[in-house]
Amino acid sequence: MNTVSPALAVVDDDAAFRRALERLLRGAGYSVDTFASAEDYLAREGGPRHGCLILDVYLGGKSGFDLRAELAESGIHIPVVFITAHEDVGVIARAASGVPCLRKPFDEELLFEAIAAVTGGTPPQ
Amino acid sequence: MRAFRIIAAFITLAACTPAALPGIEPGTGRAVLIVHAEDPYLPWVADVTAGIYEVLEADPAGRPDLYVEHLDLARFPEPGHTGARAAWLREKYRHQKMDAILAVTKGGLDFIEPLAGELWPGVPIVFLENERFIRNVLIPGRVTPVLARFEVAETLDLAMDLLPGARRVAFVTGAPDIEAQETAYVRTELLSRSDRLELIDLTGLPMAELQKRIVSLPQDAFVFYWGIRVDGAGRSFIPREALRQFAPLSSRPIFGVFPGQMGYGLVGGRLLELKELGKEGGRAVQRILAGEPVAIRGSFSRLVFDDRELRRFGISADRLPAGSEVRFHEETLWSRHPKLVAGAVAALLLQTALIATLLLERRRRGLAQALTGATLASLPGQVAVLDGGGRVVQVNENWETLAAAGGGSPAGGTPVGEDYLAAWRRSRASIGPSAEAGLRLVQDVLQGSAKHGTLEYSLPEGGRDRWYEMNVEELRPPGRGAVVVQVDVTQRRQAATEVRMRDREIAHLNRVGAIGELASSLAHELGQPLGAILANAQAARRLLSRPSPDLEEVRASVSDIIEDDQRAGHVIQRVRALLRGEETPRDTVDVNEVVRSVLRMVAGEASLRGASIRPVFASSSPTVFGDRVQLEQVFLNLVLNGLDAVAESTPGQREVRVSTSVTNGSVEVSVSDTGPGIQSPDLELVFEPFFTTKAQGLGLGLSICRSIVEAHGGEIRAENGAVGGAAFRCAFPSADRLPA
Repeated sequence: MNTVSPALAVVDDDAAFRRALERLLRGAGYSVDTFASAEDYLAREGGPRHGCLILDVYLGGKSGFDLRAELAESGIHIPVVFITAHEDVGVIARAASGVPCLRKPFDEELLFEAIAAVTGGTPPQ
Repeated sequence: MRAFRIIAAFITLAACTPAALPGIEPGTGRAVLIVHAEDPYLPWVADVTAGIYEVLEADPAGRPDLYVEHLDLARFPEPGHTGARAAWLREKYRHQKMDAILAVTKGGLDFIEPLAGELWPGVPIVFLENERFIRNVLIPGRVTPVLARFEVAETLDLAMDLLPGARRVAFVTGAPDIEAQETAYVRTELLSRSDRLELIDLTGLPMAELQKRIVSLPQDAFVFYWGIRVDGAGRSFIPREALRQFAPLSSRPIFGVFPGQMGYGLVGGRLLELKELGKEGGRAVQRILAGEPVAIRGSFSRLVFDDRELRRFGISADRLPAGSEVRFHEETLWSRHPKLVAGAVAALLLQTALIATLLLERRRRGLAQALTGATLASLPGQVAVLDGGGRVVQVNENWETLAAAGGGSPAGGTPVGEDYLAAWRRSRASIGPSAEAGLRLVQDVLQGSAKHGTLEYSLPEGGRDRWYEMNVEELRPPGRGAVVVQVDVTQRRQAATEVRMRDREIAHLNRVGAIGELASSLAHELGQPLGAILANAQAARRLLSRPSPDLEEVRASVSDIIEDDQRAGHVIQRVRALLRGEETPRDTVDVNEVVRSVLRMVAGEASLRGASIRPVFASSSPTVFGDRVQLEQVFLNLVLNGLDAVAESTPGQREVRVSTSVTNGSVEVSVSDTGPGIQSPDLELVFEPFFTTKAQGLGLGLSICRSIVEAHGGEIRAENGAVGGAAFRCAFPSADRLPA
C-alpha cells in the first residue's frame, strides 16, 4: 500500500494510546515511528527525518513543549501537532500559540486535518 | 388557628376582584392587554410579565382583567404569520373592551398599535423597551414609553476594571439576520469602547464552531454574551441553554446583561432586572387608569456575579465594585456547625456545675437540715441522700416528682424510707446489665471501696431510649452513706451523636473537595483510555473497509479496546469509592500500592502546576491493616498540601517527596515538600480543625488525616525540614506484627 507523506513520529508516554494511534495512522497510509518519551526521541539514531511530530504535552520527563523548543533551538523546525488528555486545551493552545492541540479522545478526521494543516498536505480519505 | 385561617381566606378573597374568579361578573370591569413579541418561555419575557402582574394584582383599585399574548415574532417573522395572528386577535377580542395595553418591545408595539387603533380607538398604550432600540423612532402620542437600557458599554468598563490586562472583547450572539436590530445595537455599544477594546466577532456561528473557537481565546480577551436564539446552523436555542453549551469550554470569563443567564456560565455583569421594568410598566398602567401623570424611573440594572465563575478565572471578590451581589457561594457546613459545638459545651458545663454543687453539698453536711433541704431543692436533676445501709433518707423535689410519676430509672424515684439497693435489684429485669452495674456502684460507695462513681444507662421510653447519668458520691467518713444524683442526659448524647455524624459528613465533604481539586487530572486519566479506544475503533473500521481485511489486526484492536475500557472503568470505580466514602472492609493493605494509586491521581495536577513528585518506595511491600480508601484520602490530602506549599517556589524547585519505609515493625509514610515550611510556632496546631494558611481552605484536611491515622492505630507528626520545607510523617503498626 502506498504511504501518504509525511513520515510521522508519535511521542506519547501511554503505551496503549501509542499503539492505538500507530495502528490508526498506518491504516490511513502514514508511515509512523513511535517513542515513549522526549528523551527517547532525541536519542534515536539515524532513520528518516520526520515530516511531522505528534507530541503528547505531558510526558514522563521532558514535556512536549520542551521537546519542540529544544528542536527549534538546534535549528530543527518540524511541524508539530500537540495531543493531550488534559482538560484545559485552551491553556495549552495559548502556551504553544499557533500549534494545533487536540484533546484526547479526538476523531481521526481532526487529527488528519491538523497534520495536513501543519505540513501543507491533504488529509487522507 | 382555624379562625385565623378563615380570616386569611376572607382577606384573599377581598383582595381579588370578583373578575379574577371564573363565572362571576367583573367588578372593576377594567381590562389590560399585555403584548409580547417574543415566545413566553424566554426567561426575561416571563420576568417582565411577572413584574407587571405583581403590581397590577395588588392594585388598590382592584385587579384589572389581564390578557397576555405572545406573538413569537422573532422566530416567525414571515408576513403570513403576522397577518394571520392579527386576524385571529381581531376575532378573539372583537367584543372585549380594553382600557390599557402594555406592549413589550418594538416588535410588540409595531404589531399591536394599528390593531389597537382599529379595535379600541384612543386606548392608552404603555410601551416597554430598551431606549437604544428605538432611537429615531417617532412614538405616537397615546403611547407612554417606559424605557430601560442594557448597560452593555458599562459592563465592558466593569470587565476592564476586573481584568486589567483586557484588550479584546469577543462578541457572542446568534445569527444576525434573525436579530439584526439587536445585534447592530449591541455592536454599536461594544464599539463605543473601541479605543480600548478590539472586537473579536463570534456572532452567528454554528454552535459546534463556536465551541471550537471559544476554547482558545487570547489571554487578553473576555467574552460578551448577548443571547443565541438561533445559531449559524439554524438551530433554535433558549439563550441561557446556548450559554451553558459553550461557557464551560471558554478559556476566558463571560460577561452579560441578562439576569436569566446568571448561573449558566456568566461571570457577571450589569444585569437588567426585567422584572423591575415590568413592575414599572405595571405602575404606569395603574397611574394611567387612575388618570394620574406618569413618572418613570431610570436604571433597572444591578451588579451581580457568580462566585464559582469568579473563582474559576481567579477574579478576587475584593475587586468587585461596591454594591455587587455575589451569588452561588459554595454552601459551607460551618454556618451551622458552631451551634452544635455550643450544644456540646453547654452539656459539659452542666455536668461540671453538678459536680461543683455536689462538692458544695458535701461541705454543707454540718449545716442545718433546712439549709440542706433548700440546697437539694435547688439542684437540677434528681438528688437523694442514702444512709449507710442504702435507705433513702432525704430527696429533693425532682426526685419526689419522679417517684410520683413512676418514671426515670426504676430505682430513680425510690421514696424516702425505702431501700435504694433493693430498688436496683428489682429493676434488673427491666434494664438488664445496667442494673447490675448501678447496684454495684451504689454498693461500692456505701461500703467505702469507692469514693464516687458515674454510670450512664438508657431506658426505653415512648419508643425511644432516654439516657440518664447517675453520680454516686460518698458521705464521709466512710459508712455514713452516699448522695445519688441522677440527670437526664438524652439531649447531650443526641448532640454528641450529631457531632459524630457531622464529623463523618465533613470527612466526606473533604473527600469531595479533594476530588474537585483533582477534576482536571481525572479527566486526564479518562481521556487516555478513551482516546485509545476511539483510535483503535477507527483503525478497526478502516481495516474492515478494505477488500481483504487483516482480521488478526482487527482482533488486536478490539482486544485493546476492551483493555482500555477496563482501564477507564477502574478510574471511575476509584472516584466512586472516594466520593461515597463508604467504609470498605478493613484488610491488609499494601502501602506502596496505595501511595502509587494516589500518585497516579495527582500526576496530572502536579505537571500542570510545574511541580515534580519524587517517590521513594520501601523495597519490601510494607502492609498495614486498614481501610484502603481512607488511607488514600490521607496521602492524597498530604500530597495536595505539598503541591499547594510549593506553588510559590521558583519553577524547577517545586518538589514533593513521598517515601514509604519500615522500621521496627512500624510502617512509615512521609510526605515532604520544598515549600516555605510551617510558619506556626506550634507544629501540633496544624492538626487542629480550622487551622489553615490557604485563602480557600477550610482547615480540615489535616485534622481529618489525623483522625484517620489514629483510627488505624498510628500517629502523624508535622516537622520542618533542616533545609526548609514541611514534612508530614505517618507511622502505622505493620500488619506483619498483628496476629493473623
